[in-house]
Amino acid sequence: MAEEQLVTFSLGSEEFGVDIMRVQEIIRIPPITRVPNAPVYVEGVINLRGNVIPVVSLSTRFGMTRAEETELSRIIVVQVQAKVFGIRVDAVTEVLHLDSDSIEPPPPIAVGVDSQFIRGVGKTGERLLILLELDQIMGGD
Amino acid sequence: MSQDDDKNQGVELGEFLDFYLLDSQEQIERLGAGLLQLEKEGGNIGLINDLFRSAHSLKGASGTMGFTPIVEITHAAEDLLDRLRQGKIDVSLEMIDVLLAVTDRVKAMLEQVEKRQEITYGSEDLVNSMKALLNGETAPAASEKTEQTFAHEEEAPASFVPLDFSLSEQEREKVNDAHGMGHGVFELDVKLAPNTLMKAVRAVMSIQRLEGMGKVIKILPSVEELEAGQADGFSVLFLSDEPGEEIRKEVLEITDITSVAIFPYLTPESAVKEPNISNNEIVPQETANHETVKQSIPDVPKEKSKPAAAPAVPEQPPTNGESSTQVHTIRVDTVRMDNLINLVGEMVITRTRLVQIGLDLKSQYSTDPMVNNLNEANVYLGRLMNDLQESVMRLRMVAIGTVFNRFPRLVRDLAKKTGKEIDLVLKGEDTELDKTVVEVIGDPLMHLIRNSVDHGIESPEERRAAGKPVHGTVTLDAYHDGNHIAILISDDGGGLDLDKIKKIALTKGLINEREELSENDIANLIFLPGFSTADKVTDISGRGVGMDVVKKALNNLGGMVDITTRKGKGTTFTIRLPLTLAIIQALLVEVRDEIYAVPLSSVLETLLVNRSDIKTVGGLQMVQLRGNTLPLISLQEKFGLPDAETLQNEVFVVVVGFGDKVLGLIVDELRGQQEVVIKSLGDFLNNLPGIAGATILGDGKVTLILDIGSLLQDVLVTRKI
Repeated sequence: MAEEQLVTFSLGSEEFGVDIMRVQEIIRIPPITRVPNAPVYVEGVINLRGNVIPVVSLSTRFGMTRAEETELSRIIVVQVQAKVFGIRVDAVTEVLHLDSDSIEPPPPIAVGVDSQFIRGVGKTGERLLILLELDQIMGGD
Repeated sequence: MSQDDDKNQGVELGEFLDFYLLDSQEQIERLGAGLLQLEKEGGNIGLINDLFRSAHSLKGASGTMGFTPIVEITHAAEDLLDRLRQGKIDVSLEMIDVLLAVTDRVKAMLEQVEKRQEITYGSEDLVNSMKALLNGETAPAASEKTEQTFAHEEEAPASFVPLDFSLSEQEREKVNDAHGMGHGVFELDVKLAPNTLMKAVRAVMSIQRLEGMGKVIKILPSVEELEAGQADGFSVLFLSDEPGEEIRKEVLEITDITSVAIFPYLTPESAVKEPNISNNEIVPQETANHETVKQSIPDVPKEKSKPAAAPAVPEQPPTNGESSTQVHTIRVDTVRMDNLINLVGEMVITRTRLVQIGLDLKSQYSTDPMVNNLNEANVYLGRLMNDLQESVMRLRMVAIGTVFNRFPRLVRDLAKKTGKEIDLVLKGEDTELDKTVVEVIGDPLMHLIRNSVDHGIESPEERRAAGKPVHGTVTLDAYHDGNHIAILISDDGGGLDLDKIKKIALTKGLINEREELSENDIANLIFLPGFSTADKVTDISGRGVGMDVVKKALNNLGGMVDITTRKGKGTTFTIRLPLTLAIIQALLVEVRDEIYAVPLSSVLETLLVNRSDIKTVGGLQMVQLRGNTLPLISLQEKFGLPDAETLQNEVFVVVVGFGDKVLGLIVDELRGQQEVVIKSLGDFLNNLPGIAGATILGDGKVTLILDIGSLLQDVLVTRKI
């Protein structure tokens, strides 16, 4: 049976998952340099071992209220089509396996998140995971 | 790679393919350039010989690699050039056209080879037209036949020691006889590429060729020994009346022979008997390009369709067919170069950190001699780093001629298409600039040249009516100007129609009626997006998408473009670009709590200005500076930062600019000067106004580098905020 491995994280009251194959690493939040005139959801750029990469604030991207930075806040560095960027999340929860069968297409009215960013909704036990479509996070509109 | 490839590609592939591609692309460029020269100068025998050799070696190499279509087409071209060389036919415009078409076709074929595709282009049409030209050959024009001489004054260097060929009595006699009768006796030292297979075959091929020109006395080591042994070359004792240079070239044409040196050979006896043999046309020479150490480029995905970028070695202009100076070059994979630059960049960052640590230590333990030692070492390290950096940067410098060289063809074709008569004059081709700049400057330049040809130069009738020479001239010039390179594209055409530009800008709402614009300002309006004055859309200069794209491309490189135009006299575009895009000196400035880096090369001075002296004119802030008006931009406003809580009475102004375009940036603090390594912001953020890139400071934080070019252009072009 086909299954997916996901890195899950929390953002506000929701829980999200991204394909583990896209995740390059997970880091604590370093100093972020704001970039003027960049799209609003780009929080800025960071120094990742000598490379400058952009960081996206998912809460801004999804129009959610932004939580304060805490000890648990992290940046998940992902790679999409050879481009590397970070997504800032409130906390990384776990890595889990999910049967492809338990993934459903995104509901028409998604949970407060623009449906173009959603690949589907996964169920594991009682929990609902929103699976992110990373390709759309940077760029798009 | 598809399976079909095997059909086209015969023997040795893989790493040889890269050699082959590099070499062939170089040959085809040379062929193209030579043809244009031929068109201009007519039948210069040295030039035709060069062309013939290019076609010949292209054919040979393609044959070895098994690319039959290329062989067919180059073979026909070679035939044609051979006939031309023998003076049996004359150069005609038609012939040049066909041969240029051949170079294009071969280029296209090579591109397919490069992409590891099967060659799908045919060659029949061109082969047929070449055959037709061959058959229509005219009677040999005897007067055209110029005898080629290679008169060199130099003598064989003293270091040359004749090889002991251990000649038999009979052989020695032959040599002495030849000397006696005034024939040339030569020693040829032939070197083979290190991994040459079947060395003996090369020797046999050489002997065959030489036999056509004279008599081979002896070869060392013998063919049998070569077959078995590890020798990487051989020497030939050879009698001939041909000039040494010709002999050398003939042998060099054999594949895998990397160099041939030729010396007049004197046996001890003959030296005594005939001390004054005048074989002064012989010079020991090794051609530079064959000697070039070539490194293969690994199978990294190459930038597509850039065969022109291949010759990293400066093209030697095909003069009279003699290769004069010896250039010792080494071809290095660009990936390795970039890696080197990155490492140097990291070192610069780390050194900045060390300096910071040293200063911190000093403020804490100012009396400790160890701290002073550390700081002294830091200073020395800094000097070494500067030298290292400069050397590495120099490695990346490429002559702009490699870009310019593709334009004569472009102008020729465009001129034909538009029915205009245009000369392209190239100047300053030797001006060097960073490889990264050279790679990207081509397209904007092409656009400006197209524009000059299409819109700048008038038709011959108009020119005649205006009392100008019928021939229009487009000049491309490059020179160093401080830390920048200036590239000028000028034409002697009709100049820009300023009234028309102003009218269009008004109707499109780009400017408003009240604005007082100088002629220069009006001319610069054409860089606004969507601006087009061409009455008719042509396939040459497009539909008004051009100029703003050019401007943007140049801004992205940290450069800018300016126009001067005079009615009836012509138009000049001046491009200014930084010499390098990798490591620069920067002035760090602080605006609110953010730090930005200003490239020091564009900083003219810094000022402390009273806030009350800043006036606002037409939405633009200005200050009087030594009798001139200096436009100002507040970085805080530009970058959407909050207002300061308390306004200072005085503000810092960083005056930046190129040439006569200056601008003041209002900042809160100056934070000193530092060396920074330019990093890209990546694909997602690469087109932000006012930002050229990013850098990492000693404390590991990212700082953005200002794009002075685009800030200046903002002020020049948009008079409204």
